[in-house]
Amino acid sequence: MLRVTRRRVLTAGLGGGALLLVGGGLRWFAGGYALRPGEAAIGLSVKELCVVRAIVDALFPADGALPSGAALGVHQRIDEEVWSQPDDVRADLRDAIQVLEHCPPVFGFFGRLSALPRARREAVLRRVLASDIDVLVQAATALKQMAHLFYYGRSETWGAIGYDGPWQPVPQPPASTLAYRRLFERAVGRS
Amino acid sequence: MIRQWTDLREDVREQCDVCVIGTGCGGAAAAMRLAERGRRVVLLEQGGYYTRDDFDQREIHMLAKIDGGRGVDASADLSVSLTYGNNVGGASVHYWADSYRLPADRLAEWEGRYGLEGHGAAVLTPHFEAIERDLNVHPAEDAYLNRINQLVRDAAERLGWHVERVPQARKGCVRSGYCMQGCAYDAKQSQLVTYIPRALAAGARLYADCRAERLVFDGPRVKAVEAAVLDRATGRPAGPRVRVEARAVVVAAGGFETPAFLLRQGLGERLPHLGRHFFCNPCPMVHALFDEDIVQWRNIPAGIGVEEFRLAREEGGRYVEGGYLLMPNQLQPAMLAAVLPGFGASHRALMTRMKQLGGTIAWIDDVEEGRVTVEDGRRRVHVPLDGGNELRIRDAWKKQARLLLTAGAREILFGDVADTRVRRVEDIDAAVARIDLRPARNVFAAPHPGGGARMGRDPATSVVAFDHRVHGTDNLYVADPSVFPSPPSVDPSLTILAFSFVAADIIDQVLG
Repeated sequence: MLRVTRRRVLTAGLGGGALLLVGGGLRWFAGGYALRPGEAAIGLSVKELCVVRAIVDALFPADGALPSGAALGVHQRIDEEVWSQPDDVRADLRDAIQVLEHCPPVFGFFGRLSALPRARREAVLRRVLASDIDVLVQAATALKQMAHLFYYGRSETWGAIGYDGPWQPVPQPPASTLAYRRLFERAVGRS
Repeated sequence: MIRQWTDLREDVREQCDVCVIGTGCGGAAAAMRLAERGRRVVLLEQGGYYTRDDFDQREIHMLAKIDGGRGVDASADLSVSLTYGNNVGGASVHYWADSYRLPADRLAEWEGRYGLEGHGAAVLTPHFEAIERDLNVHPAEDAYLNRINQLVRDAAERLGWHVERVPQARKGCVRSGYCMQGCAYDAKQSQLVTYIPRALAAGARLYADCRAERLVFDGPRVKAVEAAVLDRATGRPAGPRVRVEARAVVVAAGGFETPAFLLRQGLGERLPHLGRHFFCNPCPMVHALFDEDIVQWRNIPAGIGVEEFRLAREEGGRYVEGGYLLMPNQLQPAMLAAVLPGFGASHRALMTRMKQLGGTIAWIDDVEEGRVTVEDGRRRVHVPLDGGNELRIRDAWKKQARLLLTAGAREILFGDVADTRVRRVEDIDAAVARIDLRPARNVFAAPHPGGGARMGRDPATSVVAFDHRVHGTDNLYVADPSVFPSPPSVDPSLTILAFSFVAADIIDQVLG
């Protein structure tokens, strides 16, 4: 899985050092993040969930027959996935989110990714994917792929894309999903 | 008997003749053959035990259940997505059921160039015949060919490329299209519904959700295997442990995990080639937009295979073309969305035309060797995409694009981060030359790992002897594609099964 560590960012060359200067230590710089009603950060920190929410919002605004990623809780599903992964993969994914949050100055945008207007967030992500900074491309690609997997894995999107759905009528969530849901319900006070 | 995480509340101690680690093609075949000969067999499987009742055909659910790494594991630089099983039955539960025999030219290379012994045609052929009977292997029928299969077949024939029906391990297939999500109809002849039940019927005992962690050695003999029971909900140790004392141990954890497992036992120090010579058939895929409905997600994935380029062609020592098997591809919507290029409006435009999207995939016959290492306890898979591998990848992109345009595609998408597309054959070469192969700029799958514990006579350059026994040990064996000297150039499942039959016969003889 991802190998997005602070050491790799430092040695990434262009922008690597700037990322850490601006990030100011990345993980502990947690000011200005708050969960919304009905959200819970279980695999991710509050900051990280907010960043993922912002990325998902940039990737999946509501568009005609397709619902927004936020409405489908794609960011929450990514939180579940992070929680479900082994510790080392979980750490990599969290580092990837942190690096993306603090990368905008590298591409000429002032501020954190999650604080930018949606159009600028989208622009940053496009520049990341087109950049020469491998560690950023890796981070953005991994999150983009994961977000799209969980977005189009939802039945609410299938009508718009012409998919007639599974032949098996009854969903059978895995044990990890059931366990995560119990934690989530308890965290949001619905248990 | 099958015991799984909810059954295992306290430590377990077992004694047997043979402990088999892993229940994919390698482990299942070895266990079945030994159990049916009266040996006491215990199987340890890290993943869960799932049956057709658990296969709900929802991609997100099934990735978490039966895909190794929950479907997000990747090579060290994130360029290649690692595809393997993590469940009873292993990767055969999500595989495409392609069932090729090892080609004669590849066996000849293994014998001639790598000195393979004891696995010649006279030995393997009866095993292939038996396995084909057991798994109902037969050529794909016309009814199995969805639209992309038909188009690819017709285009290949127009181009004069050799195309064949892919042998299929199926019985009563309803052509749902959910092969990769586990067959909810028990029609795909995975190990879950074939050799595992036979092993159990012959008295084998299977522990699912049990991760083998340590081999207990007494000099050159393995005395026992120690395993941790995993909480399936969290994937973390639940507390109880299983200890299996066995007269022989077979490691069949798959091409990614077997070398890593052996490295964690400290065997890399005296077997310097452990983890080396790794291959995985990195698969570049190409997508195509058609004017007609394709509906790629229905019917079986690949009923035809373009074999024209299976063997690489060289002239004067220089690579010219080929070195891959080329097939129609099949992706369900979530995975298709994950691998399509871009995001936002352009991506949505593609997804809303999903019915008209089809594509192909090419299994690159690796010539640049990769490596499996363990660093800080963590398995890392290094897959080179340069050198000879790069030549093959770029050629495979070109051939796929040409094939799909000949098939009537309106537009070809290479799926790279720059979203390179072409609409005309004359633009293919320049477009492919521009595709950036730096890490994470493309999407490759790696479904066929092997070679990381290759066979050979000399412990200085190999890991297992031709009797499948790990060099320097008395009773530790490997029965999975890790022992192959090089890629088989076709789907490896039948070859894995046949090699495991050989291994089982040897072990049975040794046990006396």
